[in-house]
Amino acid sequence: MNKKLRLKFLALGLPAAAGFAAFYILPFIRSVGYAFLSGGLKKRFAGLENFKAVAENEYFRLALKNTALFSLIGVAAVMSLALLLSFGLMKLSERLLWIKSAFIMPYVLPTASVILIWRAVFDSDGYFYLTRLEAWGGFFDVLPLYLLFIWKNVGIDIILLTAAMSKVPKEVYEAAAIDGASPKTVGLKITLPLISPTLLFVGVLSFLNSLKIFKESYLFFGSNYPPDSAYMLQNYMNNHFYKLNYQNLSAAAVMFTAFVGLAIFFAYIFSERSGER
Amino acid sequence: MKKRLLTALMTSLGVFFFLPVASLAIKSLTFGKSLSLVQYWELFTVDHAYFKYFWNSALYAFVITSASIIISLPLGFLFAKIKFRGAKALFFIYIAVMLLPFQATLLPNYIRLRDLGFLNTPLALTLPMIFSPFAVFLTRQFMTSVPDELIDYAQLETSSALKIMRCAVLPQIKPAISALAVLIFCESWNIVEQALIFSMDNPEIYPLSVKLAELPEDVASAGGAVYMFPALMLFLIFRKPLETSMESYKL
Repeated sequence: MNKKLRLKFLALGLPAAAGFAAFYILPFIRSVGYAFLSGGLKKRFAGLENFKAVAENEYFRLALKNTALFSLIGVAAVMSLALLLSFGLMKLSERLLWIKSAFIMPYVLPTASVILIWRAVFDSDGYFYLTRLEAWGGFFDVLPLYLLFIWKNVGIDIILLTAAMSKVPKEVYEAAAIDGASPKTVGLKITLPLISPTLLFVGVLSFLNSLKIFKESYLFFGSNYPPDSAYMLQNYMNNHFYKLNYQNLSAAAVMFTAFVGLAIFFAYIFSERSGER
Repeated sequence: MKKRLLTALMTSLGVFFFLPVASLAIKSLTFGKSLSLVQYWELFTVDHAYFKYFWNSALYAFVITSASIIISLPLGFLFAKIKFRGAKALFFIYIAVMLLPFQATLLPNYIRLRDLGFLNTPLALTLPMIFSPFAVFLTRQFMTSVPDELIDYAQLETSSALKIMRCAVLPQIKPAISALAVLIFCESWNIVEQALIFSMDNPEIYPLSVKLAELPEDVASAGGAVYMFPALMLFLIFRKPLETSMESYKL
């Protein structure tokens, strides 16, 4: 491509790049800076003070614990269901593929509308009694959120998984059939290892989506203050936005970003390792 | 026999997933215990400020979708087809930010909006999403599939960058772009967090998603159904290209 044309394309691409830098990159760097400054009018370098304050805050700890638990259980549940449904969908005949769309549809629907049904189902005296069961540690308070998360996100996982499954060469399955492998063995020993990179990506994507549960939580509980067991990181951050406590917010955001980055990094390292064996 | 069992099982699961939508539709068509359109009649004739927020949502979704796609197309093309120094590193930053959880990008967005004095204005609810990396990422994914020869050939015909985009590149990826538009529309139709934080002191400009819960009980289902309708229709119309383009989420 000649130089003039290249310059034209660079110029056309500039608005998007400039906006991205202005709203995401540059202020992110500044927010990292905030995390190391002391609060109040006179700014001074505070070292790790803000981080310590956040880490010692009991609500941050509660939020972190709840978020980690929600992500762990939510991702495991949505991925298991997506895998089972994908195996099922792969075996269906072509003209029944509209069923797949039923699983994908929830992904695009507005949460506020859907919440009306969730409230109608879970807003009963019987269910209220369940949430008071101490032995379950507030599990029933969070259960509606788990169901919303799974309902909404299983579709995108299914799309990615079935796309990967249909790329497995037919010959591999034919060879397995000749060797007399049972469907269960084929699934576990052939399909799963062959789609493992996609599986990992789906895991990461589901994890990131599980962090977005705030919208559902806010609309379901009707406020920023859900029951203790459903108090997540974003509730914590929202409350601090209302207090305009930037130092604390920045420190929380930096810690959280680092945590997520590390989690994804280790997931990839782990998959590289297990791929070599 | 086994196959029929599987078919039956999958069909019933599919129906089960559809149940929330169906029950909202049914609830919206009842009043008291009988079937009627009273809810809709009330929603459309009595002023609940419903449509004020409905049009807020429509405006944000329309502006975000069109603006983000128009500005993302050339940048996606740059990343997909033009070699320039630092391209790889730059695209990596895009992916990294795209993967960042909301909790991490909200604060940078907020800082910029505050400095520009845009908080509590409609700009606060649109600008960050217009520049969100998602559209650039997906357009780039689509454009890698456009054959190089086609672009080379187009260059012989014209030296206009816009013409190359319009005549050589876009026709190749039209279904994918329409699917992307639907995805962005539905996402911006559903904003909640941005409104609560970027427009803390000005509930007048809230989108319907935050205000729907304030609708009186006896018209709530109709309000929810009308709000869901555009997203549902877009999904049904663009089902096929949507499903194909969601496959390109894969990094």
